Amino acid sequence: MRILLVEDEKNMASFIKRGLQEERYVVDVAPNGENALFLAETNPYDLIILDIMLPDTTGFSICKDLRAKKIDTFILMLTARDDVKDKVLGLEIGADDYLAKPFEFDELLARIAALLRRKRLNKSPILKVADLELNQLTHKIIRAKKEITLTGKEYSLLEYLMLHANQVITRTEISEHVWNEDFDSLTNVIDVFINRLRNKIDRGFKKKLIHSLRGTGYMLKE
Amino acid sequence: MTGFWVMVFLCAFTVLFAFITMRNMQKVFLNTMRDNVAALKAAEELELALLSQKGFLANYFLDGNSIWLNKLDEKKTNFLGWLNKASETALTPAEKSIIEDINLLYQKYESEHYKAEQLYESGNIRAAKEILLKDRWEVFEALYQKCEDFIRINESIIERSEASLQRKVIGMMVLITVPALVVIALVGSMFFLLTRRILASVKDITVTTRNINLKSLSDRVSTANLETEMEYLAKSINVMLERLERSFEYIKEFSSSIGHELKTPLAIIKGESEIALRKERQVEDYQKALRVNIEEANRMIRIVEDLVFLAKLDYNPDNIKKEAFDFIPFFADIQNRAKTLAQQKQIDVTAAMLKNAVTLEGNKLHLSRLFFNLIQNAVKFTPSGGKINLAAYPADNVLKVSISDTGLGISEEDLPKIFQRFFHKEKSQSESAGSIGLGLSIAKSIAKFHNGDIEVESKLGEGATFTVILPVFHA
Repeated sequence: MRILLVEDEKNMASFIKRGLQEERYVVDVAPNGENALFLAETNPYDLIILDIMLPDTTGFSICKDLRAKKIDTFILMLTARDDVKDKVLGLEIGADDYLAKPFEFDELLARIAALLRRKRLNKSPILKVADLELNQLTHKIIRAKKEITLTGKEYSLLEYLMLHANQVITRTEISEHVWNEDFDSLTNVIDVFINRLRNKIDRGFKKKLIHSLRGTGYMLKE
Repeated sequence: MTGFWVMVFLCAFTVLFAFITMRNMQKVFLNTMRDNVAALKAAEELELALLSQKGFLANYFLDGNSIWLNKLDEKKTNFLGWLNKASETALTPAEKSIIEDINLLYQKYESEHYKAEQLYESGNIRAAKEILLKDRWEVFEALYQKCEDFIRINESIIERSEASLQRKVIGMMVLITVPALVVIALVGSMFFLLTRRILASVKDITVTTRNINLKSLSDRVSTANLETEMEYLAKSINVMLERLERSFEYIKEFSSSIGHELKTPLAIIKGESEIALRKERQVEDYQKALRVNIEEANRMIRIVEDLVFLAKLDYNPDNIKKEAFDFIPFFADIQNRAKTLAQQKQIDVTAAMLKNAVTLEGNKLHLSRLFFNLIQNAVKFTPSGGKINLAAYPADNVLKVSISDTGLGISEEDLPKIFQRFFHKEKSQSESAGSIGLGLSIAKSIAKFHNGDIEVESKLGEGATFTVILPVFHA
């Protein structure tokens, strides 16, 4: 899950980014409005965390611009202004949620998770494909009642595959949702991670879940 | 208003009328009483003088001592004196005729006396006594009766004048009461109408003012259809509301800005600490979190200190000490600090020195803070390789110190806002923690505290010139 964090306060952006990364999210930071619009238009983010007071513009104006450009990524407004009028205005111009600073980090995580679940038919935090289970809250992965330990990136990759189970996923899609801006598209990093996942998920099982489709990408299916 | 003056006129007229009437009444009453009482007194004294003559002649006839005759003469003179007075007070024909009768009778009384005395002198004592007891007695009785009549007449005159006075009083009371009642009715109804109008507007004003709270400070008292005075009142309430609304707006904005400025570092401290405690970490991670927290706590301290300083300048400036000082060495110090500050960004600082000594009066610490803030601002918005020029020049009892830069300049839109508290100009990421938007506001407050000011000239992209104006000190 890839998140764009629009925040001009360096220290604020820093801890939110670290906290989210620890929760297996992929995070890009935009320190001003110009940067934010550019990133949001170029990359297919799953969610945007938007500060209202920005040096060159306001979060409201960014939100409006994005919605006008038909970018319907979830937007969570994050601000020190907790006036009801601001909240209403934010929600009216197309934000999906609103959180006032200072906040509990757990609440931020819960709200992000809740927003991301909205898109799915199955609202449960537990993703299931065959005998493989992924719990988005606890980050636990179980196959055939045995727990599997994954690194952050491996988890993000598996989560993305499971969210799009039985669909063909291209390398570009993976790079856009699982990696952030620093990703170098010329390397074979994705293939390396897919191999690591295969070793942890499919090795020793008769039924393989991760399939390669030559020339197009990958698919996770029963 | 005209109603009020008509009321005053009517009241004054009634009071004047009543006063004159009472005055006349008093005069008439006093005159009547004085005359009548004098007449009555004369009548009573006359009767007493008559009675006191009795017996003296009889005593003389008994012992022949002439002392009795002398005493009788004395009493006679007394009687005649009172008779004279009584005739003076006798004004009516009835009184006059009684006095006439008394005069005649008394002559007769005297002649009887004379006759008896003659008889006694001639030795005919019996005949003398007879006259004394019979003829003279009859005359005395008649005289006494006349004196009584005179008293009666005077008493009845007093009674009559009292009655007429009473009638007059009643008449006058009617005379006063009728116009007074009319005036009272008029004044009362006018007063009632006027007060009802005033009270109605007072009620309107009260209702409006009572309903005004923080959320409806923009409400105003209606000034339509009001008496002049009430209109003044309503207007001054509105002016007061206007000022209140502006102050509240300012306080609201100011406190919301303070809230925002403090919430950001608080959110960072909280978030950084939460993240640090989510799981076991390396020592370096904890150290980093603590360093960030200290940085943010310092930012909060700076905000609070600046706010306290501003509050002191605004509301308690008496505790700030002022002294007279030579500006030239002070300015040299400022220039050196500007050079040090600008060096880090390779900005060139030039300065024009004053030719003659100038003395200022003020707090050197705060004034150097003023210049430091302006220089810091200039350095911040001037790109590397730019220039900052400091110049001091005297003008009309003031000293002007200008700080010009070749920096980004200020847009026309921002120009009126730059001295507002918590106004942030676009900040680059590296400076975000340093700027809290109070620097220029503090500089302006310091200038105002020294009876001076700061002016600014700038165009976007063409640099800015801040000019500090301070009054020159004359010993």
